Amino acid sequence: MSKHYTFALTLALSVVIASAAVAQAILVDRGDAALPTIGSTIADFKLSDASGTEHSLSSLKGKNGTVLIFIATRCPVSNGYNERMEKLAQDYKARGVNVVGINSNATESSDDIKAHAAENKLTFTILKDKGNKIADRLGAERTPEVYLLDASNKLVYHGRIDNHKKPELVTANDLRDAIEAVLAGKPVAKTEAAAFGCSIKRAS
Amino acid sequence: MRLQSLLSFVLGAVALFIIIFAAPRPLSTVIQAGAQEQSPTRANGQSVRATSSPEADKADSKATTAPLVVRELDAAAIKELLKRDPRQPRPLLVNFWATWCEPCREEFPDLVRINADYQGRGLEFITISLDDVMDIKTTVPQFLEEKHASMPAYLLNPSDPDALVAVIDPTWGGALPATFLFDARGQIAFRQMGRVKVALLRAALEKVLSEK
Repeated sequence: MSKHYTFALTLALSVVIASAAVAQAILVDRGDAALPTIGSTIADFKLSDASGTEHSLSSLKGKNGTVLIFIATRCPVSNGYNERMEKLAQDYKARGVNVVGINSNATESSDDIKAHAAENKLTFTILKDKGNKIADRLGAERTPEVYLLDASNKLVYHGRIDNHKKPELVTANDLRDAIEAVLAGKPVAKTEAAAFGCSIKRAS
Repeated sequence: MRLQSLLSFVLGAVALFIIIFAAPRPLSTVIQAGAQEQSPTRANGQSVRATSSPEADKADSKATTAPLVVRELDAAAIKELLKRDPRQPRPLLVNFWATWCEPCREEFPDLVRINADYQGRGLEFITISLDDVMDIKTTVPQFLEEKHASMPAYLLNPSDPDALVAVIDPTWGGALPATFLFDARGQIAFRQMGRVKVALLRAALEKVLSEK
C-alpha cells in the first residue's frame, strides 16, 4: 500500500515539475520567438531616409559597431535625448561606431523627420520605417530605444541610452559603457536596461 | 486492498491533472513568482509608503471630492501596492502614464469611464504617473482633476527604472502608456502596451471579475 502511495507521489511530482517547465517555456516565448535576443545577428534590411534615399544596414554600419536608435519627432523623452544622441554620433564616428536613427511612428512623416533633424541639428542618418516593419522585426516598443550591434551585426546591448531623461540626473551611461566594452573587445556587462519612454505609434 | 490503492492512485492522478491543466492560474502563480523579484514580507500592515499625509493614505477610490492628492511611490511601495489582500481579494488595474505622453492623455477619458463602470463591482484601479516629481502638486493633479479622475493617483520617482519595470512585468520595456490588469491573486491577467483598446480591456475585466 505505502509503495503505491510513494509511486503515486513520485509520479505526481514529476508531472507537476514537467508541466511547470513546459508552462514556463510557453510563457517566456509568448509568440515573440522571432525577436532577436542578445547574441542574435541582425539580418540586413533596407529603409529610406527622410529624403527618400535608400540605405541598407550593411551600407550604414560602422567598422566596429552600429547603434540603431528608435527615435521620434514629438516624444518629449526622445527629444530630451536629441543633444545626447548627436554627441554620441560625433564621439564615436571616428572610432568606427555609427549611429543610425529609425523613426517608426506612423504619425510622423518624412517631412516631419527632416524638419525635426534640421531644427535639432541631428546629423546622423535617420531612416523612415514605413509600416513599422523594422520595429516589429526587432521588437522595438518605445522611443528612444537602442540596439547596439557589434562589428558583425550581432546584438550586444538593447534598451536605454542612459538612466535619466534629464542629462544632469544621469548616473548610469549604459549605452556608452556597452560601446566602450565593444571597442575594447570585452563582453558587455549589462546587456539590457529598460527605461520609460513613448510607445511607438504603429500603423493600424 | 489492491483495488483500494489503485483507486486512490487513479483519483490522485485525475485530481492533479485537473489542478495542472484545468486551472492554469495557480501554476502561473508559481512560475511568475520565480520570474519576478521576490516580494518582501508585509512588515507593518501598511498598504503603501507615501510621502504625503497619512489621511491621504487611507483615501479610497470611492471617496473624494477633496482636493486630489498624488502620492509619491518608490520601488518598495509599488511592490506593496501590487500585493492582493488574501482576506479581500480583488483585481487591480494599473495605468502608467505621464502628462508628456500624448496617447496617455488621449486614453484618460476611457479609463475614467472604466473606473466608473467597474469600481462598484470590486475593481481597484490606480494610476501611476511617470512625470517629474516636481510636478506632483501641479500639472499631474491638474490634469487628473480636469479629467475627473477619482482613482487613487501615484507618481513614481524611479531611481532605477530598470528594476521598477521588472517588478511590474519583466516583458515590459517601459513604453508609455502601459496598462496592466492583475487578477485577485495578483497575477497579470491582461496587459496593454500603448493606448488601451477599450473592448479588449472590458472583456478582460469581465473575466477577472467573474473569477473573483
